[in-house]
Amino acid sequence: MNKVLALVTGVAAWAAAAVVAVLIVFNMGVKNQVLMFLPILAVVVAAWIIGELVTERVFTGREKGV
Amino acid sequence: MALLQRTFEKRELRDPGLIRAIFSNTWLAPLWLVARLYLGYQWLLAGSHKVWGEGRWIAVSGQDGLPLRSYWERAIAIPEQGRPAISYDWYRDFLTFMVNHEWYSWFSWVIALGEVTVGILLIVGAFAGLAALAGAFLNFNFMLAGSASINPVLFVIALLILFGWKVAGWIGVDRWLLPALGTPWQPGRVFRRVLKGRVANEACPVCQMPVDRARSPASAYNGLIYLSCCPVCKERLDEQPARYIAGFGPAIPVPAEG
Repeated sequence: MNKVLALVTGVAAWAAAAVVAVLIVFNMGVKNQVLMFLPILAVVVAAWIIGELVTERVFTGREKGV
Repeated sequence: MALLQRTFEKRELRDPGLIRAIFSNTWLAPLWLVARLYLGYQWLLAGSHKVWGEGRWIAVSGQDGLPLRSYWERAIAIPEQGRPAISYDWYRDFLTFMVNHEWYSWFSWVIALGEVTVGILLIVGAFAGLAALAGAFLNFNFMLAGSASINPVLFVIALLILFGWKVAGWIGVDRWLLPALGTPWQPGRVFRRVLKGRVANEACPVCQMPVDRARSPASAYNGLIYLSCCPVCKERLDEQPARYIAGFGPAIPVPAEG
């Protein structure tokens, strides 16, 4: 159950990153590309951190100090 | 004969340390992330104009792909003075064929959705190498059709990501996706589960230590999977598979568990 939850969390984090990136690009103008680029970078890094701290940790058993 | 043998004998030329550090080491993953995001962002932006808004290519009230037809017609036109946009006759013939057969109506969907897909995959770092390859193919075609714009820059970045496919998606989904799927020459956890009936050994072919079916490094050889006890043994096995597998004995598929 723990692993399923961790996997769903990881997948959801990356799916959310993709959705946010699409929403940002599709709904904002192209006048300032840096302002569009930075939030995409932020959501991708956030998804990666969630994957590392939640999914990877549970699957490799690091939370148990293995 | 000796010259031919010497020239074509099996010899692996290893990359220098700097090249391996750039294209195979995870310490440069943040740099690959920025390159990947820039490229993905550009593709997503290009695709967004084609699938969304007033000037979109697809899902319009009339026939789809009319802007694409205009683009192709401009590309294949031969001006009375100066050089045509397309340098290669075979590519002009190809575009002319597609215009004449009204392929732009469905091809516009391929390009528009392809650009969006490439953009998303690069941004989340899923199959980054394949996404970069698809993007490079699109750039290549735009350049063949005479459009320079930012295509040369995107093409070069895509090639670099293609070379660094192993680490380009490290800060991304590939961090988990690639080890799970693996490659044809090194099956990952998913493929190993599918092919577990074809695992040929219970002990490391190199040092005879026991192997773990779920975690040990795998190599594919002659259609069977050989597990090594550690990465060092796997490297030795990959260098000289015939030697170790011959020494190990005939490869007999073991029955699948469960």
